[in-house]
Amino acid sequence: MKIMLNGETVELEAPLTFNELIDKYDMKRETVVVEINGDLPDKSTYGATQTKDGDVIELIRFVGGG
Amino acid sequence: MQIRVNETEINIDDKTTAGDLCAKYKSDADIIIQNGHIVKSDSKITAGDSVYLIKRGEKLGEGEIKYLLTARHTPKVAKRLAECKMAVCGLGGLGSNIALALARMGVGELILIDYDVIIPSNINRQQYYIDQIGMKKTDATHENLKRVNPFIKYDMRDIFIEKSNITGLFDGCDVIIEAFDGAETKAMFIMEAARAYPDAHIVGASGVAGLGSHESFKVVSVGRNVSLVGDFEAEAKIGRGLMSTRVTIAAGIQANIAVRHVLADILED
Repeated sequence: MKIMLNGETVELEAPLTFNELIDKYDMKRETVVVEINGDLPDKSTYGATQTKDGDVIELIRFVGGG
Repeated sequence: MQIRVNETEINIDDKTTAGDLCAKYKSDADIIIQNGHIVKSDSKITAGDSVYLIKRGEKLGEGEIKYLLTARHTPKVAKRLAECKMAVCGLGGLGSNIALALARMGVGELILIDYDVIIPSNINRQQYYIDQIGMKKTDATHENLKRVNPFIKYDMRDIFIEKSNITGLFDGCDVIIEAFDGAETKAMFIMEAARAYPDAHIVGASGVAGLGSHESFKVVSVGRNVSLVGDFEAEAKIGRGLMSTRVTIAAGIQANIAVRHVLADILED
C-alpha cells in the first residue's frame, strides 16, 4: 500500500498500526503526535488503528526544551 | 468629519492637520501619533482617524495611561485584543516571554500557569530578575506583568498540568499556548487541548534549543486547530543548552500567531 508520510510517498508491504509506524522510524512513542488525513486521533487508538492505502500521515516530533 | 483625539470623539474641518489638533487640544504636546504612527504637525487628518497627543515626561492619570499604552498599536487591534482571552501553559523560557508580549499587546484576559519556582539558571532566557530567584513563577510573572499592563485580568494558576486536568481549565479561551519544557508533556498537551477545545487555536513549540539559525524555524499547521513553531530537531540535551536569543524568537513567533489568529479578519498584513 502507498501512504503519504511527512510529505513523501512511502510504500508499505502491509498495514501498520500507528505505534508500529512510529517504531519503524526510530521515534519515541510518547513524543510523537500522529496527524492522519487532517485529524489528530486519541493516543489510546495508536496501538489499534492501522494505515490504509492513500492515507496522508504526518508524524510530528516533539523534542524537549522551552 | 468625525475623528478621535485622545479617545474623545470630535468633529473637525476637512483640511485639519495634526498640528491644528495639537494647538487646539494639547498645545504642549510634543508627540503626535496618527493611527499608530508618529507624524509631524503637517500631516493631514482624515475621517475616522485616531490621534493621540503626548507630552514627554508628563505625569498621567490611570485613565489616560490605559489608552496611551496602545497608542502605537495599529487601529482596531487594541479594542479586539482587549476582548480576547488566552492561556499560557508553562512560564519558562517560552512562556514567560510569550506572557510579557501578550501583556504588552493588551490581551484582555490571561490565564498563566506554572507550578515551579525561579532558580538562577532560568535567568539566561526567562523574563525574571535576580531578585526574584526563589519566587513562584506565577507570582513573579504577575508582579512583572502588572508593571507592564495593570488593566489586564490576570488568572494565575499555580498548578501542574496533566492529562486529567486539561478539560475545564481553558473554557472561553480564544488561544491556548503550550510553552512546556518536556517533549512528552508537549505531545500529550497538544493532543488533549486540541481535542478538548476544538473552537480554540492551540499554539505549541518543538525544537528551540541551542543556537541554530532563526531560518531553521518553521510554522506548521496540524489537525484542525493547531500551529507549531520550531525546527522539530534541536532538543535540549547534554552539550546543547537553552538560551535567550533563540528561545525568545520562538516565543515571539508563538505570541504573534496567537494575536494574528484573533485579528484575522481585520489584519491587512
